[in-house]
Amino acid sequence: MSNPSVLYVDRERPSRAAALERVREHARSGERAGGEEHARDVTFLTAESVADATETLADCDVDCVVTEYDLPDGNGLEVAERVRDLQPDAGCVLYTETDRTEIETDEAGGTVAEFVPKGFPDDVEELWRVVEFTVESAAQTAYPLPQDEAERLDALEAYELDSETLQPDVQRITDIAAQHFDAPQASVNLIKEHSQQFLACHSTDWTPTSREDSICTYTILDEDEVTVIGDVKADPRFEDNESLDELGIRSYAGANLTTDEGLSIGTLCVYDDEPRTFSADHREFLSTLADVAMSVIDLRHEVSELEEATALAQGGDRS
Amino acid sequence: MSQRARRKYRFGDDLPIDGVDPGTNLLVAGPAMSGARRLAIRLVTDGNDRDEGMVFVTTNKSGERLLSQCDELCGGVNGSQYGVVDCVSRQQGRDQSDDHVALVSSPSDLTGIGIEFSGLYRDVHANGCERVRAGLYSLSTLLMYAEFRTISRFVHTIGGRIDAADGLGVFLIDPTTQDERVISTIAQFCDARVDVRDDDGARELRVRGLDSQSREWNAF
Repeated sequence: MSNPSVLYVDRERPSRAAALERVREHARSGERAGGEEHARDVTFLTAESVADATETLADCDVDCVVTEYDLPDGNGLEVAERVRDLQPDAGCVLYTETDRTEIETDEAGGTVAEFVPKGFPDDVEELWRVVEFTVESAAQTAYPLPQDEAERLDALEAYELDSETLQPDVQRITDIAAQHFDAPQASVNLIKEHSQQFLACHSTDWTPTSREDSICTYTILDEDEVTVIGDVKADPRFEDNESLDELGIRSYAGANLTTDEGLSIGTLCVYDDEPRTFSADHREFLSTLADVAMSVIDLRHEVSELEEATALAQGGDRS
Repeated sequence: MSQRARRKYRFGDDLPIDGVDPGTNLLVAGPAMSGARRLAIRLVTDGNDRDEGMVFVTTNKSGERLLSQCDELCGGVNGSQYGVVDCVSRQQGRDQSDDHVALVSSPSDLTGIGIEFSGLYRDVHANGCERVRAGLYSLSTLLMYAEFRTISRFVHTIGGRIDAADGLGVFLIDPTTQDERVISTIAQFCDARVDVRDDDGARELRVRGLDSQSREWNAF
């Protein structure tokens, strides 16, 4: 895990500082054992109440939240609910002295969290083991991850996708897609670690959505070249997805943007506001257009690398 | 990790499934009366005489009923370390958990199921069982009570714990009650999928996702 950030939530009391110090010490010793002390510094944030934790979650990126159950203004499961609202991919671990039979779960039945009892021998070791695997394998996301997720994210990172010269070309591709499918909306999307970002949109200007709300999260897992959902309300994976309602998406076709190494960094999609079908010709067209979009991205990347190399060489000549 | 813990999890000689590596999660998909439930229980209770611990989650039959099925299949779990998360008995009026059986109010209480599962898993580990098999019967019940996304997170979280603890996980689902897109998405949280069918009394299974294993239908 690279520089993860952990939010530790417990009410102010003498035992809190000691418990947190034990967790910190254990995290540090794990890093030393790994021989990467500086590369894997864990950032610890702290909060003393549900309100305090909510504020931190709204302001800072957090990979995992470790929370006591009994808090001054509520309980740890309420913190877990805030995590799901504000940073849904983050891990959540209830680390508590409260006996598990005393934990009131009836009101929070849909909140999934890990549980480690506090105050037992080796409890800190167990807590840290749970935090580490939860962060390293993003083990609490509500969607499956591609098997090559780490390589996929590295590949995505390597592209300069905020380039101003790239944008108009990709925009034209979304315009062609919308026109060909007679669809109100089309976009080229990037699937980042926790979000879907829109590189270009036809006829709209969408802001990033969380990855768990995005259909493309599933498209990049699909072995077929094109994923089609004729009616999102008839697909149990998306029927309750309010974010699709807000964007006016009722039907969907998406093709992967795949690198030469076979990594899917994003998608080209068309959307309609009513149920519809997509023919075999439609699928083939979308797949070809996605390949064109990927070629444009690749070419832009190669040009900027060449420009960089030329600038470096010229700088060297002058000196 | 010791040699003992890295050993494969093995199943009975009469089952056409090879041993699997520690940290493996299996999705067993088969309709009612196909033998899928019995198979999914056996994949866990076959660890009974191998010094392995067992943790079960039962969503549609009482813990007592599940344990008596386990006893039939493996000759008695009482010699082993085990725990059961029972999502049924409290609705039937029972209100006392004991050392082995933790009661949760209903199959909709995923938070409670997750906490009791983690707690019992830890207890079995703490009592000296380095190797633990876990079975959940069945995801079909949970899908009736909660949104797909919540069930996805739940399976991911529990499967993650099993993987990190070098355990074995077995999740049962009835494909006749679910959309195939749901089954295949849940299968992506698992390492392999075992399909079960019953063709006029001839029971067969097929394993997909384990490199070493035949992908053909085999009788069992």
